[in-house]
Amino acid sequence: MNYKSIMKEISLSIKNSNSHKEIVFITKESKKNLIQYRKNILFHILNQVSYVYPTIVYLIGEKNLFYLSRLFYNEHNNNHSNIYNFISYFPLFLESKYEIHKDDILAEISKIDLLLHQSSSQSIKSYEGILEYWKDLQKKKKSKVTINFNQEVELSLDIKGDECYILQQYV
Amino acid sequence: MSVNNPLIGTGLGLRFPYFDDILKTKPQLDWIEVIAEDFLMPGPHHFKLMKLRELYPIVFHCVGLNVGGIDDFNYNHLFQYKSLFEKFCPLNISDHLCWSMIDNIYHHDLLPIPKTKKALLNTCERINILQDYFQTTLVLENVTEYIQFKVDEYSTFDFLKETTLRTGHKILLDITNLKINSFNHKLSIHKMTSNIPINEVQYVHFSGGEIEDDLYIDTHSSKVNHEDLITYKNIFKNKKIPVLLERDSNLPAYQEMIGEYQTLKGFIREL
Repeated sequence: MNYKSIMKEISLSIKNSNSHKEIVFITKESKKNLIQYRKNILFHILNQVSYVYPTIVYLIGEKNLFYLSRLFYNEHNNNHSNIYNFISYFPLFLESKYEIHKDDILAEISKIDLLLHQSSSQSIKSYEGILEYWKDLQKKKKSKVTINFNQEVELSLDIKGDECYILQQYV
Repeated sequence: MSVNNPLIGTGLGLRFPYFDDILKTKPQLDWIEVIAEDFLMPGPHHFKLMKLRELYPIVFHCVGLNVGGIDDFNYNHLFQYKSLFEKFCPLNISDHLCWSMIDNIYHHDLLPIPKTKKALLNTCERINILQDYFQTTLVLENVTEYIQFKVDEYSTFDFLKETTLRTGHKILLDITNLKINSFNHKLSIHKMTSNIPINEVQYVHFSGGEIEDDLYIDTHSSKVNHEDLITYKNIFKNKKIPVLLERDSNLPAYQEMIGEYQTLKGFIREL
């Protein structure tokens, strides 16, 4: 087996969490260690998701976030050279999970976290009340703000030096 | 600082939780190592990095150049790095002797290269491409290798020695990775390192791992221990190669981290 085929096999094995017993090109003694790379990647993704979406961590806790991060990794091939670009699909992933979307507003909250993290001239569309709701969570308090899903707003960033402010405009 | 090495003394790995504290308290640090991928996207953190750059020399440490990979380089991606390097003028640029992407799937982990003659040729060709593109001599680090390949024709450091000789890249020796590989594969550190071209080592990483279920894992989560320092001393004898303290998880409070930095700096100074 040549080195290119070996690398391809390793890649598939890590991504799909295949049984390592069938892999013949790794020494017998170290075969069981292959799983460590998958663990590393999941840990890395969890770290990045926690970093980019701190409000989501606050809302659902680290254990649930780990579950979602693993699901996100399993369901998506990462074709992005920069991990932040990969992680930026997390709100879409949350939106696609009906059982999550129905019960709360995780996807909308995650979009604001991402907006702030990206710190560029991008803007997002969301709903009236979401920004106040998110701001309450920043203060570590459960928000009582009602989200008006009939009224869309556009959120964008105003950057001054090393500080960012979120601006809101009615659509 | 020598003709071949722009670094001197002890550096600290920049992590975001310490960023504001460093800018505010301006501790005495010889230099700072910055993870390039943390800054590929523009934003206010660039503004902060520019302030940091005015206070300290910096080096960029990359984890995503896919040095030992087999897919063609993504030049849009490389251009992001190049723009970053040109903006902040680091003293050097480093990455790892590993691969992290194949068939356009990115793993964002440091995967070991099967050390065959053909893989060596491929890796050297790619190092030359990167060095030409960035117009610099790269510094490449030995990685943790949890697995070993039956097809290996070189040991880790024989492979590293060959890439160094053939491309002229410098070496970033990670003492923790060395120790982890020694533990996990029951190899003698003395034998493993006897072939390292010491004069090509530009700096040394100290991080700290943990043992879980008989496997020593590169967690970057613990203090530098005495054993690692002795390993450094045994490898470099009386030479004072610049060192870097890096930590990625189980981060201590800022002042404690600065204390660890000073302890490491003190040890190296007294050698």
